[in-house]
Amino acid sequence: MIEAIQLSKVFNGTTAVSNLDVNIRTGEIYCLLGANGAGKTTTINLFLNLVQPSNGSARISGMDVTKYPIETKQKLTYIPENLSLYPGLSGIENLQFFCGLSGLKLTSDDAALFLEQSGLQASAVHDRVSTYSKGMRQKVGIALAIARKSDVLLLDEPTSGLDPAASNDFAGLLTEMKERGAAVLMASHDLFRAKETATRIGIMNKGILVEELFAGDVTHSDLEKIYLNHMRD
Amino acid sequence: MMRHLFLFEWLHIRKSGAFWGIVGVLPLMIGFSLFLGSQRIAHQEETMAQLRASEREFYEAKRQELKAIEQDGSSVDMWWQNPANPLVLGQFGQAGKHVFLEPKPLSALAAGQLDILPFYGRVTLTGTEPLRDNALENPFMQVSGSFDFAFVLVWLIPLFVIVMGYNVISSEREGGTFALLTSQPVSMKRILAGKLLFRYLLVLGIILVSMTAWALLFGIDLLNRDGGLLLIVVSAYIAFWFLLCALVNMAKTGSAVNAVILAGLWVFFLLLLPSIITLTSSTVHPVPSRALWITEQRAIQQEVESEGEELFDLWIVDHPKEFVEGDTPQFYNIWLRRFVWAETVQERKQEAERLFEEPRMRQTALAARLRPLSPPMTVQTWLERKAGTDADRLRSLDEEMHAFQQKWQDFFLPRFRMLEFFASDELKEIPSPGH
Amino acid sequence: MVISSIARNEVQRLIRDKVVTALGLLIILLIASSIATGVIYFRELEAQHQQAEQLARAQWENQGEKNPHSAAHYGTFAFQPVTVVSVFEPGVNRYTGVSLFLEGHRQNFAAHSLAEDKDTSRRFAELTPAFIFTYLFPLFIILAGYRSVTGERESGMYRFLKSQGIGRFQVIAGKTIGLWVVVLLIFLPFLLIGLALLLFTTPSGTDVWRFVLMATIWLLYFGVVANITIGVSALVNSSGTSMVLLLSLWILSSLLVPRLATNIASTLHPVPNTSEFLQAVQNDLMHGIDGHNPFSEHSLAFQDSVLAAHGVDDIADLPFNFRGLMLQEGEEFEKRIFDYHLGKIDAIHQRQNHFFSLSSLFSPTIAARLSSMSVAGTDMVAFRHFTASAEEFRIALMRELNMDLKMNAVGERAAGYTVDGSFFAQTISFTYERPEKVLLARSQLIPISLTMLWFLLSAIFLGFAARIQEEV
Repeated sequence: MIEAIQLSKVFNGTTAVSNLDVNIRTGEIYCLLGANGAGKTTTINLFLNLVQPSNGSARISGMDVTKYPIETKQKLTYIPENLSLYPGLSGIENLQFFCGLSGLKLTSDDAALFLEQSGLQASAVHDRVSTYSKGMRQKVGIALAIARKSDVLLLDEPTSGLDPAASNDFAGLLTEMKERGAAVLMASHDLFRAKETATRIGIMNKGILVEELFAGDVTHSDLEKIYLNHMRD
Repeated sequence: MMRHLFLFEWLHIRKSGAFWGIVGVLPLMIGFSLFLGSQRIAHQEETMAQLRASEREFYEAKRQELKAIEQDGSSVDMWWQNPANPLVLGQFGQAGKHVFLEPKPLSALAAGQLDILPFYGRVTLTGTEPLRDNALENPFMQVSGSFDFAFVLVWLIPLFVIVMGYNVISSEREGGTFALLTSQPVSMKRILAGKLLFRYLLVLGIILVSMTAWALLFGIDLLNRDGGLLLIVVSAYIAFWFLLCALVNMAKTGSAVNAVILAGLWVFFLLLLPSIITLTSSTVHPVPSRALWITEQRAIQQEVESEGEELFDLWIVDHPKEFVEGDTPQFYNIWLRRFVWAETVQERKQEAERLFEEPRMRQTALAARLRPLSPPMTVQTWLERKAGTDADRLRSLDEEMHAFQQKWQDFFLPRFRMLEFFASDELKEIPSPGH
Repeated sequence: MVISSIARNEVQRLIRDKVVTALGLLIILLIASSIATGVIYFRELEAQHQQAEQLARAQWENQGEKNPHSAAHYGTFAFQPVTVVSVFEPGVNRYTGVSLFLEGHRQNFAAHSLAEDKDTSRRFAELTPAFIFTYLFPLFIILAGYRSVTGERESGMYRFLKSQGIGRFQVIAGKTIGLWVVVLLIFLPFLLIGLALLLFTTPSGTDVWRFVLMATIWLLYFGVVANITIGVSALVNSSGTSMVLLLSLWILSSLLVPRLATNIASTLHPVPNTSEFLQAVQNDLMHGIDGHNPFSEHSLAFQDSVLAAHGVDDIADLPFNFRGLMLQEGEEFEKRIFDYHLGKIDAIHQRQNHFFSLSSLFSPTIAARLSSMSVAGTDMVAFRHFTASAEEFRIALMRELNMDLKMNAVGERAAGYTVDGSFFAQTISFTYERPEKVLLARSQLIPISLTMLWFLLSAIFLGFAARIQEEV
């Protein structure tokens, strides 16, 4: 579903992503771990077609994102690190707006239902987003994915800045999405959350995917050791 | 998709204080400008009606007088009291007619140069005198300019457009929603276009609705061909400013910088470029002060006076059959000469006039060539032209007066020269300025 | 110490800011070119008016043998004075007539303004120092200062400064001084060019004073703008808000209020149009002011009184030409009527001017512009001074002509009396003396005090912005 083939990006002589080969299937949560500047966000931007690859290709559902920018975006939902919505509109209105951009018209009842499904309290859906916490806004993002029945989720540091409870909530939602058959690509530097939520983990350093492992195969402390080893390179 | 964007754009805009500020202020400004415009036209029309009525009264009185004289066969003591005398009918006292530049359909919208150039004048056998109704106006008015619709459109509306458009995308960037927008299956250009188009239609709507309402209230007729053209020009002018907003928003600059850039463009198009254009045109082709022209005029007058008899003799030779010989009344002898002199003075003055007209025309032509560089100036010029208050039209008053004077002279002078007085029936045929 | 280093820092920031530097240089360039072209134009205009004056006098002197009263009808001209200060501040000069026809029996209006002949694009904008200072310079100040405080706040620098124990007052004072220094840096070339120009053209002390006062007015105005800019930047929480707010204030002050004020003033206090005015004068000439003292009655009474005074029954027996005396008496009567009606117009203008002056409570721009016109001597008051002097000359010239008629057209010479051509060379001539005082009327003090009031208010506003308690 989410596929990188020899994907590379060079910015002014600096390699941000180098010959990345990844294939994330439905029902998989793939977590990209790495330090700041390791190339995680660039990888996500490549899938969003916000930056052009220097080499290789990024594919969503088998379609190259540079050739089918609109079609591939139709399939995916992206939740940035700090999901900002229109503070003057309610959760329902925000959801209606963004769904509408992909041609999906929602009644406000439908929208409320999706928001509740993603864990937002029914009492909050009519409030202005300016009163929402970060966790609540992330839930609106998940509601967007549910409403649009996205096969692909791209998440950039979704749990950074969330308190442990909200973070746990969010992990639960992701697992639910996975079970619905979504392929999830998540960039993070939260080792604990990666081990807990992901099915597969990739470690990136200086644009290179240096290690790939199944989350079930390692313990928390193993993962930390492996990660730190790579960081020393 | 557009409908969707419009709907949500409305959700945003209706919560914006700036928007409601515009809704409150813009119609008032348009209203005030149209109110002043309609007053100006009413005043103009009143002046025209009054002067026409007094002309009619004068000639009707003369006709009645003449009729009475014809009926009872009485005679008049003094030649200058005789209503049959061409001089009494064409030259003296209230005799003569006014030539007007009539208001055009869009006159109420642009005061143009009406505050410095006259729109009517009086024609007699020897004179074409433009009447400066505003000679007593406080010149500080002219320095600051009229608050007409042209001002509201050309100067103020772009500012409202900038307020509506300067942060259309930059605010998304600053609010963080830009990231989510870019991941949607819609191109950013389309979203920008949708947002701006909606704001454009909104601004245009406010303008059109308030214009229509005020125009109805003040009795300004906009439902004509020029009104239609105005609609196109207003739409295009506003579109120009929204387009600038779009271009600025495509750059990745912040809202404050966008506001600076757009305000800078406004200053450039409305203040800087015009001032450079006028500086160029007036430096390349300076127009001399009328001070010299006035003394020139006087010199011509003196010259003609000193050549007096000589000129008259020449005229006699050229026009052997156009006057009465023998024992003629004194007034006839005096005025026969005066008309010859007046004609010569006019001819020579026209020549001297050219010395001043030519640099002025060159200056105007140069400025006109440069003006398209600034869309605001182009719109202003267009509006003034449609209102008939542009300098070119107002300056054409002189020509119109001369043209009418020709008709006037053709009617009276041959009769005067042959000393043939008028009958009361003929007074109905006294020419009036065309229209 | 702290304040001065903050100020120095601010000056450095502004000088290193490419946009600010570029715009500053642009303004200096515009000022220089507007003065250069203004001087060329001034020279031409001065030469033209001098030439016209000489020609008009020559025409008057060479009008040949004629009756003095014919000469009164022939008349002569006075031409609007041209002053080098108008290069900096043309005021209303472009819109007042350049020539005044001086003849017997009536006071004419000055006719043929420069604006009538010029291309009309200039009504958009005319590049003069006054224009640059009114519109462009405040924009420059706003641009240089709108983020002086908000910028520091946004970059976190402000928190850092506070943590160093530097107070809000010190930051704002330093920023204000810094902005002021930059404003002065850009204004300085203008001062130097202007003074140099004055010293090379006219040595008139008044003109130098006018220039200095004008510069002071502009500096006060810039001070108002700078104070408000820093104050707003200190009070709002983002650069964007600061920019938009300041631009709105600029539009209000320099664009909207002036046009609104003048147009409302002319609607509230309308000036009669010329034909109504002349009709009213004509009525009074026929029927006397307020219905009494009509000229014909007056003239009969006057004739009787003159005859009685000389103990004769017939004007032919008077030792002088009665017509000459009568003409002078009539001239004075007509002057009274014209003065009365022109005085009414003046009063309307006064009311309008008061309205503008008061509207400067909403717009420092109007206050500054009116003040600079006043001290430059290019406002209505100065123009009125010229027309009044010309009128004084006219009435003196008429008296000279009428007195000649009265004293010399007697006895056998009375019938068909003429003076020979040389007579006119000896009549008084008119050279307009520009007033030595800078200000001529008390009303001119209103805008000047309002400019100072604005400066004071803006300083208070800034002080308020600097003292306010805040959370960082």
